[in-house]
Amino acid sequence: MNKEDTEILDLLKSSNSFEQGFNKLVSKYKQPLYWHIRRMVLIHEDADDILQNVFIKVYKSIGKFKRQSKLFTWLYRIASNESISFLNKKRSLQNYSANLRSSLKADPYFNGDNIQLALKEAIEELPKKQKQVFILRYYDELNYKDMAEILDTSVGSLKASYHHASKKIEEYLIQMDVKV
Amino acid sequence: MSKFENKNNEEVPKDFFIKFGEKMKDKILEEEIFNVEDFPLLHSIKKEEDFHTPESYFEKINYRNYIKVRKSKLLVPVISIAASLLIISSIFLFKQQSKVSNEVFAMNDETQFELLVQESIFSDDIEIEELDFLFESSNSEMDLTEFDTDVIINYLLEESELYDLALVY
Repeated sequence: MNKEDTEILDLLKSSNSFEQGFNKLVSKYKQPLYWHIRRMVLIHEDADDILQNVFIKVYKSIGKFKRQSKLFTWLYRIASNESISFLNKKRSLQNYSANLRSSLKADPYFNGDNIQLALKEAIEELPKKQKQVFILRYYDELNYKDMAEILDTSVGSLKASYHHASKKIEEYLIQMDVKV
Repeated sequence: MSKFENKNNEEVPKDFFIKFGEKMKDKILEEEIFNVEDFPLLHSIKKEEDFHTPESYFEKINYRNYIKVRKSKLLVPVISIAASLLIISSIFLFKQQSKVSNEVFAMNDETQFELLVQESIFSDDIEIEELDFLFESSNSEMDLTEFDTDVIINYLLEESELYDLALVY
């Protein structure tokens, strides 16, 4: 674990310094966690809600953190699980992927071009676990060792999963006649 | 001496070879099982910032937000429990009073009422004013709804242990 995270955890141990520690944790991780969640759920408002839930969960359960894993992999695991359960609950009602292109075009917080839109559609077509692996590797640029800790899976299966996801996305882009 | 051992006494950092092995292991672990050229389209797309956030979104995220949210989330069940207890105790007290007054008002003559006082419901040292109050009320139906609701609630709150909780509410 890196020095800064160790310091945060030490501050969180004592009730006198708890607020300071939690402040540091939120400051350090709000952006990386937000972007991970946003890539998963796409809509800013949803990402904002999920981020709040993540930090509330962290606030409630940080006392149980045993330092057996890295702080950041633990946080990513919570964020990732929250995003997946959101997708399971909400998206099943909305049929979001069918209207993805029009939804993203109408989204004031998205300004990607057609290539980016096609990429988003391709990612959205992936099974949820594969999507999770792809986002962690492609956008968050995490290493396989940390991803294995976050997703509780072996490095080998993560590599295979990332390979399958990349292949499907490439095929989708070809099918959509994307020219880069 | 093995032919692989250092014969020239050249220095390397401490634990260099041990760390080198670990470094190589990590590097191999991170190797993809495919080549970037296998997916040329995907890898030629620039990872631009296509998503945005509202202005100053991250600056507004403060750790206090989450502490507040958590506290307010915790307050909801406490308030619900307090409110439920308040309602239950109000009903209980109301029923008790109705029972007493019904029994009292059911008596038509003074003798029966005196008997009741002597027997059980009231203690010997019951205040005259209280008896008068009950007696007078027997002419009109004792109906709590005729009283101001706030007065009743305040009375019940002051009498019950819920007073502090209800203040929060």
